[in-house]
Amino acid sequence: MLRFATTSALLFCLSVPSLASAADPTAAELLKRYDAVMSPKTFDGLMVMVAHRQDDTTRTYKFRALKSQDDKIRTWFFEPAAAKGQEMLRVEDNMWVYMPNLKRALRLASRESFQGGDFNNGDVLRVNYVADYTVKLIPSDDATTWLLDLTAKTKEAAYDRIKLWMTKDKQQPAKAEYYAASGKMLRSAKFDDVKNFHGLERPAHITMKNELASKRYTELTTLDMKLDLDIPAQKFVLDDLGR
Amino acid sequence: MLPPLLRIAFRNVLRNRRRSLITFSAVFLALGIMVSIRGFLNGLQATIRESVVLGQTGALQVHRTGFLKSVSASLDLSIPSDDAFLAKITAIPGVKEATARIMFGGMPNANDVSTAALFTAMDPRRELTVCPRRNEMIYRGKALKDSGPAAAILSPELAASLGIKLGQKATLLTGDRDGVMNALDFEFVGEYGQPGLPLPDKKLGFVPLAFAQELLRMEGRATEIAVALHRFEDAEKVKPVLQATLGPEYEVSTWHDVAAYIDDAIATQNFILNLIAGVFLFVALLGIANTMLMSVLERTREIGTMMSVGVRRRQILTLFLLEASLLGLAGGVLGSIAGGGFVLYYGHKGMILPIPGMLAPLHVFPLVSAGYILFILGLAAGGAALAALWPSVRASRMRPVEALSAV
Repeated sequence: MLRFATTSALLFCLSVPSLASAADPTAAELLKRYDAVMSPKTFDGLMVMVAHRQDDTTRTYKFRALKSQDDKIRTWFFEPAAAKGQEMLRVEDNMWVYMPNLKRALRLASRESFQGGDFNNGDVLRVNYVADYTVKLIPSDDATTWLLDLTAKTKEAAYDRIKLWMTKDKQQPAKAEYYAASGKMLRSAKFDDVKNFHGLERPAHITMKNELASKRYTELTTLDMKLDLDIPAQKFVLDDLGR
Repeated sequence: MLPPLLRIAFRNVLRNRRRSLITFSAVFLALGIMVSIRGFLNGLQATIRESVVLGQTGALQVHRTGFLKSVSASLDLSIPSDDAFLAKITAIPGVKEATARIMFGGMPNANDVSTAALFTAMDPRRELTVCPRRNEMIYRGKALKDSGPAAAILSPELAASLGIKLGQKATLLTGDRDGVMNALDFEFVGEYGQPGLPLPDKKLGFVPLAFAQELLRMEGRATEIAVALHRFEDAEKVKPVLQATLGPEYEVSTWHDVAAYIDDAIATQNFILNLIAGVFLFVALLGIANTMLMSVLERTREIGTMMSVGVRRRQILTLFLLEASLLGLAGGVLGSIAGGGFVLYYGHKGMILPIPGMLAPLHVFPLVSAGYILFILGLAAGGAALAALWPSVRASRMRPVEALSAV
């Protein structure tokens, strides 16, 4: 009898959170969902980035991004001409850029600007929010969204704090605000144009606005994203850059 | 009538020599110290100003309008750096030379370590005419003008964080004017440290202009032009002429504008000096007031006698004021001579001040203007008279009969 009571109490305790998650996702589940949508387990993507500058001119960059099973990312730049032949590689907390003129890779910092746009290197090369941030749900100002409050766990995280809105219907990212340790908003992002890429629904278009410069923003468009690939591990070693 | 009164005043001052000597000494010391400190500060301020103007800023600077106000030094706001543009500037009367520079942020890389640093690119040849003190910017190693085209001078802090030694190579990675990354190798040729300016605790680097123009993909462009004048004191006069020549697209600033912190530091020093000098003078003048009050009290019967033989009240007042002024003036003149002597001696010989946080000791040549000496002499004599006003008025208001019968 006593054993039955303990077991049923235990079962009840275990069932409560799972019952709740069936209705409302937890903060951790939403964050996992963000990572799954924005940075699938493996992918081979073709992206176009358009940087809108303070003087109303634009710069366009085209690159391929490849992600390995063990969360390494490599990119190849095709446009503009000045960036052609440049490659980037991220392995864990390390980032490098391969310079074709030097025929050598140089170390990069995750908080540096990604080729002069309003994304930083971490935004593009290191999307692993579950690993980098602790998360909690906070009340959202918009009833159709969940609002997540992310706080950096490591100093390699691209930002100190992020506010991330996820839609309730499809659990897609809708918008985000990125903050410095001081509490100053550095950037804000909008996610839209949800498309199906080989079975994965995700926003194809991100607009990143630089909150420190009134007219600067950068658009990142995913042209194509192949999924569930088997990419040789040797593509993600420093010595392979430039080959 | 005045000369005899002056004579009496003299005699009265000398009557109580010990007391007069003490009062005189207070004024003497106050004035001596005031002149010495003023002279020292003038020398120090001139040294700092020279270090900044001849070592960093030049007398005038030209930027693209909006550059100085932009949040980060933006490569978008660039200006021409070709010979034709520079010739337009050097053609203006009073201008000696102009030199182009680029300020930019970069990520030097060595030993698989990268760090963020601030770089200044300069034309190694022209720069030395505009800022001759740049010659002294090398603490160890070679100057840019004696090095190859891909050379850099780094602050000790930057070299240490990269883990490189003089003569070793490193790579400078940065976004070009469009933000596209670019990188070039350079040799670490010299360690930065400028005498007269604080040792930089920042990550700073200096590279040749042509190297930066290639790296940033901005041939023929710069972010700043530093201008040397034949006399740097003419900066305010040449500024409007240069501004009118270049037009509203460009912004001309004097070294005062770009190194406002120097003026702030000088203003603070002057404020503190004036405060200290004011306290010294006030204490000395209190001594005079005390001396005169004692003198009046002691000489009550004498004042009564003078009045009863027909000396007017106004003459009594004048007499006491004269005595005080004589004391103030004598102490002041001799104090100024002593202070002036100190300033002259060290102004000729120079003072060498080792200052913590600076690489080389400061050479200060004290200097004081005749105007300042005359001003504080007037202040001492006038102040002495003012301090003596109340005792003197008291003396002049005495009633002869009562004064005569005072014990």
